[in-house]
Amino acid sequence: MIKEATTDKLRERGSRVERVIAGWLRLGVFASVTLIAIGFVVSSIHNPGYLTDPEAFRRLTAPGSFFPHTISDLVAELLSLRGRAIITLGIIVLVLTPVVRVVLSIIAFAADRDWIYVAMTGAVLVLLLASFVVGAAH
Amino acid sequence: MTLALFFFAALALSTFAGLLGSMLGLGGGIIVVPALTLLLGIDIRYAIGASIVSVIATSSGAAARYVRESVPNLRVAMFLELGTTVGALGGAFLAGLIAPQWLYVLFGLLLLFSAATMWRKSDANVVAPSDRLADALRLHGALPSGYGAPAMPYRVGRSRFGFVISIVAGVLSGLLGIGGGVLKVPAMNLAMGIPIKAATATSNLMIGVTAAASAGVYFSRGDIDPFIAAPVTLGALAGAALGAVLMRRVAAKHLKLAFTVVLWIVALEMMRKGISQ
Repeated sequence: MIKEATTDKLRERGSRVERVIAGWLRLGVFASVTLIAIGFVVSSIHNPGYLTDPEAFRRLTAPGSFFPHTISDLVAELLSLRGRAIITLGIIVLVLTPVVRVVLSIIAFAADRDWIYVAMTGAVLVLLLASFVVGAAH
Repeated sequence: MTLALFFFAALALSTFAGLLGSMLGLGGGIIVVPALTLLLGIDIRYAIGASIVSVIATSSGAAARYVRESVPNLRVAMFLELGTTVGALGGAFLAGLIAPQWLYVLFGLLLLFSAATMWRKSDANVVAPSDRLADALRLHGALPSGYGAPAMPYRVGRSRFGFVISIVAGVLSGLLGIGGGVLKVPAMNLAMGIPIKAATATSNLMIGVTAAASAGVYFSRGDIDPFIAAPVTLGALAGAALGAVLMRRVAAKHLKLAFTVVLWIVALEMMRKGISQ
């Protein structure tokens, strides 16, 4: 048995948090799709053989193929407008959407003075960053 | 194979993975990895790297709509995410200490049990016993109207059990690289009393966070090839957006049935992996 008032209150409390999170996710997804699509088009224009040459496909997708996987390589390639770097930037934006979602949730819970959830979500964020460090050290 | 052909093949396959994954609250790696390696001849490392990104795509692509329409239970998501991240970190430390073959068998048995329970309770909405922790954390929620007309308020119970399962799910994803959705959805639905659509949408929201934690590592190791990940990501995003729209139309009973079938497949696959290793 649920009391109507409780449900309404939950609804109301949740709605602002939900709007903020949903808005962010949409923005992140939109930016990511745009960057990935632009990157793919740019590299196909720069390298006309990419799309139709089987040898190019092997080179691009076989183990040992080169693409940026450090931030400094990525920045350097972005500055020279390499398509593969633009795709990678789009992927990084997408990977960051759930992380930013957690950060936004902390802010939204704090605005609601919901301290238990601020602590809980804050702990999730710390653990996320910790697992990133542990993973990187492996 | 050419890049143009690969692009469309990978796009189609990952659209399917994103569609299924976003509705069932799973990552879809079980489709993406074999599709890339077996059908399209991609190296396993790059396939896993692309699959991690597609899990995030499946999560964020659908969650944008789900969250706006209040389908996931945000508080339950935060509460269980704490368990998952603790477990995943623990799992990373345990890796190398435990023989994975036993874990696969154990995991397979756990999934068989979940599948059997889900099969038995395919029609019923589970009513969870009252739970003071869930009251204190205000975990109770309501599935909005349109997803199981009319709006369906529910009370969450057995929150401690759910928390333990989410730790186990985190440990397994840290150790075996398997997303925890297959464990968390049955726990939320069958034990905690959350309606199936709210449970899968909550799981969908959570898997993005877990995958993002490991994606950084895959990126710095050079496992995320942009030309492979591009079509996989775009496909998964499109599929997830479509899945979130279809979620309104599908009957809860059919969703549960589809989930049960996937559970059986994953369970048998895990047992096979454990025994053959």
